[in-house]
Amino acid sequence: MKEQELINALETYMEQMSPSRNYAQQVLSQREGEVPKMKKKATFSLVLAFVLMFLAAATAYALLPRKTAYDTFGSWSYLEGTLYYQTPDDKRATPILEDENILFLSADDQMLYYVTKGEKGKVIRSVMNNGLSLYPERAINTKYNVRDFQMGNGTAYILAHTTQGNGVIYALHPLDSSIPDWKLQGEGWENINNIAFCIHEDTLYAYSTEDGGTLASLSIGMDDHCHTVLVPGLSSLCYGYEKDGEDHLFALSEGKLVIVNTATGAKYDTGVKLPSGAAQVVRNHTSIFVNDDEGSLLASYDANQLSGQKELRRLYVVNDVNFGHGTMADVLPLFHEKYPDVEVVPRQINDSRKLATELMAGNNCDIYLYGNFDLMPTYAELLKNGAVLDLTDEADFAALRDDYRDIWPMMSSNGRQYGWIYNYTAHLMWANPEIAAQIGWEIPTGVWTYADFDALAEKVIAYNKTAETPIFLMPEEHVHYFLSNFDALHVDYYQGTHALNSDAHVDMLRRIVYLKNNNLLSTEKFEDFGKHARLAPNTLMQFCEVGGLGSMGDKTMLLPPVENAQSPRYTFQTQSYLISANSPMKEEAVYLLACMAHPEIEGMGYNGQMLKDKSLYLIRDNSQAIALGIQKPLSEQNEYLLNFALEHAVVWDEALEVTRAKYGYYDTSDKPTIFEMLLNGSLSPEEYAAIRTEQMNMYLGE
Amino acid sequence: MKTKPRLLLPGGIPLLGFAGCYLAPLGMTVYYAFVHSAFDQTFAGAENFRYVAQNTYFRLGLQNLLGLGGCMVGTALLVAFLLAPLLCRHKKMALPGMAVLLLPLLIPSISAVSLWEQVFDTNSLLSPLSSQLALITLYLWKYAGVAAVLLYTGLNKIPQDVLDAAALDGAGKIRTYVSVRLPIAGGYVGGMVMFLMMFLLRSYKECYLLFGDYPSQKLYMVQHYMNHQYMKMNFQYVAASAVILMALALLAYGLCIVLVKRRRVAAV
Amino acid sequence: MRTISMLVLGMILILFALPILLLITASFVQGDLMASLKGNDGEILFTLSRWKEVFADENMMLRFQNSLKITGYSLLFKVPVGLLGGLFLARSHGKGAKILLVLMLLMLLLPFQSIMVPVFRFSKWAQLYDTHLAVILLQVFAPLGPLVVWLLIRQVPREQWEAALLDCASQTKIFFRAILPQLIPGLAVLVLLCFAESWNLIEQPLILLQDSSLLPASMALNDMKGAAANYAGAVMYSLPILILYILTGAVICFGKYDVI
Repeated sequence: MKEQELINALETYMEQMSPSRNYAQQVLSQREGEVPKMKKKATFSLVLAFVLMFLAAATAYALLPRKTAYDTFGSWSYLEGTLYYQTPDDKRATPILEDENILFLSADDQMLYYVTKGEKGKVIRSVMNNGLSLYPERAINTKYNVRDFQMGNGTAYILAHTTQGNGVIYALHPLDSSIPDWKLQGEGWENINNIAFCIHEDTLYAYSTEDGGTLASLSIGMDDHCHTVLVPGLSSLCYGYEKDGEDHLFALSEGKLVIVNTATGAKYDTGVKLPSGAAQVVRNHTSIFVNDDEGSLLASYDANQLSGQKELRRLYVVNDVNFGHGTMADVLPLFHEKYPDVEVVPRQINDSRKLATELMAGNNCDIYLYGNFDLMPTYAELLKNGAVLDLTDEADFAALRDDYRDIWPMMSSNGRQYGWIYNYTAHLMWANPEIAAQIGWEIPTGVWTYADFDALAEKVIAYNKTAETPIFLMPEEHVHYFLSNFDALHVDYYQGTHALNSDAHVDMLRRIVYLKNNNLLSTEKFEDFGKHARLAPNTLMQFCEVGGLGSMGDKTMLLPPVENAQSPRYTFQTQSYLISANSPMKEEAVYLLACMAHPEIEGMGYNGQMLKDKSLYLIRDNSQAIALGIQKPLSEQNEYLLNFALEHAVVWDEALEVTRAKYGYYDTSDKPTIFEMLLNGSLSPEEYAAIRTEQMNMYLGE
Repeated sequence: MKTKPRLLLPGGIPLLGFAGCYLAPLGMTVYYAFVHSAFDQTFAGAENFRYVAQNTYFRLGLQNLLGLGGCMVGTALLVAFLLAPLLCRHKKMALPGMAVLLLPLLIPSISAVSLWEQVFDTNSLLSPLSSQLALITLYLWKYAGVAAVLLYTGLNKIPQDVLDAAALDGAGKIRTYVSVRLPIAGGYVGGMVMFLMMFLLRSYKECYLLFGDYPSQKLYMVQHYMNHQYMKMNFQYVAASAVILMALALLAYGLCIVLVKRRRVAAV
Repeated sequence: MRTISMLVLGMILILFALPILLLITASFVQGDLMASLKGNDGEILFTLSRWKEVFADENMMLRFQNSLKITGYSLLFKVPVGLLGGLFLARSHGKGAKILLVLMLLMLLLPFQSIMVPVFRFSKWAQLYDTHLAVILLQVFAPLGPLVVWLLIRQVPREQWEAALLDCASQTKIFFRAILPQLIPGLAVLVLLCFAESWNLIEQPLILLQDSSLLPASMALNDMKGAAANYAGAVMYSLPILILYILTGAVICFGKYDVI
């Protein structure tokens, strides 16, 4: 009985659980029964196959052998008939040219010289890293069986087998085959049976199998000093370092990477385990590369580590255009006098969010070149937020104050210096003297105000009433410069205040609308920039962006009108070097900037023009342009104007675009900017001022 | 019923990974909220919080997030509530229907935005109303579908006998829907809201693409504020805003739980 | 009544589908489709030239490859990670799980900017900077996966577990045999969501990847400006998603087969 009760109880219990239990049973049974396993497997395998396909497509990337050469900024490589160049930042190489027959590569600072098969035998050709070949090819005498080729000190050296002997090193002129080749000679050295050589600065190191192994250090500069030592068993050489006046080389010796003292012949094992098949050792200025006999890379090592020298500290300079053009060449030696163990490394960061992240994280950004970056803060804000180093009290710069004109406001905000100026663009004006004479207006040679400007406008209006061809006062596309001047003077990013809702702003806007409504603005297209710049037709004056004395020539220029004759201020746009407050190497960075600002450094383009000492001006005239007749020599008046403007400069550092409509991400050029809307009347000056006020309130108030 | 450790322990890996990839950076962010700036890492106490909490535009951003955001989530929920039973009703259209509804999620923002930009003629000078409309419709198109599909899945799970019982009791279609089906699918609704909020905060990208950096006052949301502070390199304010946001979210979550518990208690 | 509701449903669905159709047509059109639709003058020529441009661009192909790699690996690991994590969250009864759950919900809401600088610093510290692995790891351990799975598992009534226990002692087997198949439709949706997210990454690759040869396609499209945007590129960019979409549709279909 009890059993029965128990069973009943259980059954009831099961009934109570029943919906879920049945459901579970259903589910479990369906697993076995209804849905055929095949279908499920099929879907699953399809999905898996698809995913694997993705991965396969994505990760396939084979490595192929190549030949390589290195220069200061990057490396050249030759792969499957194409020559590539790449800089350290970018592992993806840029193809430069196609040539199926390249045999050897060797680079100096800007050019790559390579040996390839020409029509009648081997030739030396050259190419720059931008793909340009400036020089014609140079044929190599067919008597040479070229085994190796390297450039050094502007001369080409080849190691060749000839009928007169194997392993002879010759020097060739890289461009001119009419200059006879000469066989290298050195006192006490037999130039025969060489199997490897390398060049560093003024010395060529050659290793031959004579006498069981001879390493020769041959001077290829001014003298022909030669020193030989006996070193057995080397097979490939590259330069290492200098220590205590003795040069050391890295070499491959019986499968090991060794250091050889060229003065004593002593050989030291670096202890580095080389991969098998290592046949060649080459280097760039930071690393040693070990290649196999086809020229493909097997391994690379840090040169400083191997040489046991103290590791160089690195100072990173971001977004600096000077590096690329080698204009740092003068600055760096001066810098290295004080800090010989600091390596200055250029970097490029183009995206503003990325730059912001790296600066905030303090990642290898010590100095950066900055100017009008989209959405990035203004100089004043950077200074206020403590993001850049305040240089006002730095002794290195105080020493320079006497050498320069009073251009310090151009790199200061609120009296504190935030950086060193790299270049500037002045907003000056250019007038047409004939039209000025026509209407009887004397072009001001100095300061003039908006009041004078308004009077001029009236004069032109009166003139146009009776004239045959009406003249215009300015081009329409240049009127916005007035607004940028207003912005520069009346928006204080440091204090966080602005006067965009003031009457002065509305007056300025009204002035512009007045000009437009009285047909004083010309709309004809004309070339206003660059070497073909000219005056707009039938127009009295226009703005002209001046980047330095060189572009002004003898144009009739004048200062733009100002608000206040007692304290005139002229708009400049600048790019400056800033030091990140995060930098672990602040002292070194400050010293580098001070070196850049040193009056005797020629390479930094604008320094000369800002110096008090005229004789140090670098660009006085664009001589090429003058020779071609495009430009006349700089007039004294223009020189005076620019210097005056420089000493009364105000930096325009715009955070939000002055003249655009607020627009979406897509730069749809058919949408009018608010400035255009002001000009064509859809916005009144008050509305325009209100929009900009609202925007600026938001920007400053955040 | 205690779950076997064998099932639970492997779960430790994802959670450790999460901790490493997200919680650790979050911790660092909280650290940044208490220092002066990324450049001057001296202790600043509650200064950043004070600055951010008192900032007009942060408050505006929060306001809009709650207001406009609430609007967007609300309309999406409405659409989902409308669509789901319809899908249930017409099972044949369910499958292609779901395909159509889920697709907008996968279209990259840029393509969708370029289309919207043309249709609504957007630029940030557009009237606030039109801008809001553009944003809301874009949000709806992209995300209401997912919500509807989720809800549909939930509604489907309701056993038929429950519905039959309700019908027997004399409840009409709508009554059944509101009083019977929705509460049962309650978990799904919770999930939906969670997703919709996540999508709301992600919709900053579309807003930015359509209207640029400084849209009209009605559209300015907290993410705008955070993005601008980031670009101005004031990470301390970004961090402070993040912490404030988290605190508010926690509060809301806590409130929800309390409310749900109360309802449950009341129901029982 | 029934027909009305069917019509309503149909209309809503068409509204949802309309922008997609417009986008696809636009990719085949030279000239401004939208402008011409609005009635303005616009030349429309149906042409494949836009598509040819996309294929010819070698850089674009490399970018696509990178996108595929990142998304592929992310998805491959995200599903199991999500499953395990969600299971832990759903079935573990400790306080720890609750706290983790709340933290995950919060992380879901925060914009990536809040942790952008710390993530960058961590990636440098972990030597993962400028590798795809960094981006993939961030995606794999994202909170979305475990949370979705948690939601799905919560919907499975507790009784099912307990009832199944009566039939089968091994909990692991129960999970894989009985519970998991129910989750598959939901998982398919999760895969779609995650694919969409990984495919459209912008900020993570921006700061974590330095080398331009590692950048995914989402960033390339980001650089494009212009009203008549590269619709062909955008559609092609959407293609893998669409293909995956169809596949997951198949999965959902078979999954639903049981549930419906």
